[in-house]
Amino acid sequence: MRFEALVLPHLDSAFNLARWLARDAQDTDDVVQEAFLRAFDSFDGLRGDNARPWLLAIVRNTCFNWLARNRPGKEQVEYEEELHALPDLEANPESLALRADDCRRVDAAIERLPLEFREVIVLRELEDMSYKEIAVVLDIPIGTVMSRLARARHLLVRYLSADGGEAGHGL
Amino acid sequence: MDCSEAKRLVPISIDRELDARDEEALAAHIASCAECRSLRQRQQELSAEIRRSSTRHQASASLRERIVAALPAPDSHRRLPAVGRKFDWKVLTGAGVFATACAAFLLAIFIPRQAAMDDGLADELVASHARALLTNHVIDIASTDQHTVKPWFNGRVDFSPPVRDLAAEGFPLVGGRLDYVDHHLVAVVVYKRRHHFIDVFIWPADRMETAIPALTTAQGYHLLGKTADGMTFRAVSDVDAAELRQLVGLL
Repeated sequence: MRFEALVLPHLDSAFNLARWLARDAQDTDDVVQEAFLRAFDSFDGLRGDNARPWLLAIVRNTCFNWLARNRPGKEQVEYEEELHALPDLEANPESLALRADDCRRVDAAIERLPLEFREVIVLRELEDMSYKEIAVVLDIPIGTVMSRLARARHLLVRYLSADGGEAGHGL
Repeated sequence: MDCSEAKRLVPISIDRELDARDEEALAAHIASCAECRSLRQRQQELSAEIRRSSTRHQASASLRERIVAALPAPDSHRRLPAVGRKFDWKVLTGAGVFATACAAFLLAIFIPRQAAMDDGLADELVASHARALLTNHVIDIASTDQHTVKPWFNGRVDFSPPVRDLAAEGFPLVGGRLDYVDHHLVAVVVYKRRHHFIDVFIWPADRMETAIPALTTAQGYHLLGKTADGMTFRAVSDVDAAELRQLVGLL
């Protein structure tokens, strides 16, 4: 069956994105399963053989609907809070001084990103998607992909450098 | 190139999205500008650190199984099992509907060309192979000994699939599993070629009437078959087509 050959191999990508968006393992299972059923139902809408961006767009929509149903308002507030005072990567003189045992800190920093910036980092750095593919998933122009990535990275630098010491454990 | 332009291009370069001409101009600027060089260095470190230290979450085996099980049988495409929740059409924006319509139109144009490849059986075999790899369920019985694998099929299928020891020819036996194809229980004998798995699907020739396919390629997998001694063989793998042909010749 074409669906199984083209779409099913991207289950881990789908799960990873949903997990980072929903930030909860149990909810993620439900979201991903629902997304796959939707994907199956709209499989005729897939053009070409590159199913991953198409699938991830469905996963993302499913996830947002789910968040709106189950956690109304929460993500929006975070987003507003983080908008001001973006740090300037160019002005940051010291290196990030990241340690090898910093997996938890990096995860925590990504998790702390407002949804809009988190998703673009996950797609670019964890899923290794091109700007063009990300633009398809998020349904935005490539220029917007680039500017969101830049802001996301600025925020990550701030989270990672400001919390380098004891404060890091408070995340 | 000035610094502000270089700063704009640095992340694009790190993301490997810069065209060759800009890449060259940026390299020239960076060679002579310590500040931009250091910026590039820091951004590279950040990107590398995120990739190295972040968690890429993976779906559990049980979720995988649930999703595979929820997919309808091949014949009933577009008939979903009871989901419990109706599809929410509101998620489809106007643009989405338009895109879907365009896609359906394109699909209608391209389907005739693909018809030869869309042979349902070939698709099913390729999907079975892909699914086996994906779910890490390539074999039910793991053994390199044909005298272990062959008896294993006794009592599980009502025919006796030929199992060969082809290690000397470079196709070591890995094991066997059962699978359903077109609603028939079939035997799958699994061989290996270097790191590639080769699934050989076997069933009695009189059970499913199929034309013997020429070498077919779908989604990166080759499919080749033959009928011998009253058995139908179909081999699926991502190995080189010539190697697959060699294996099928040996069966």
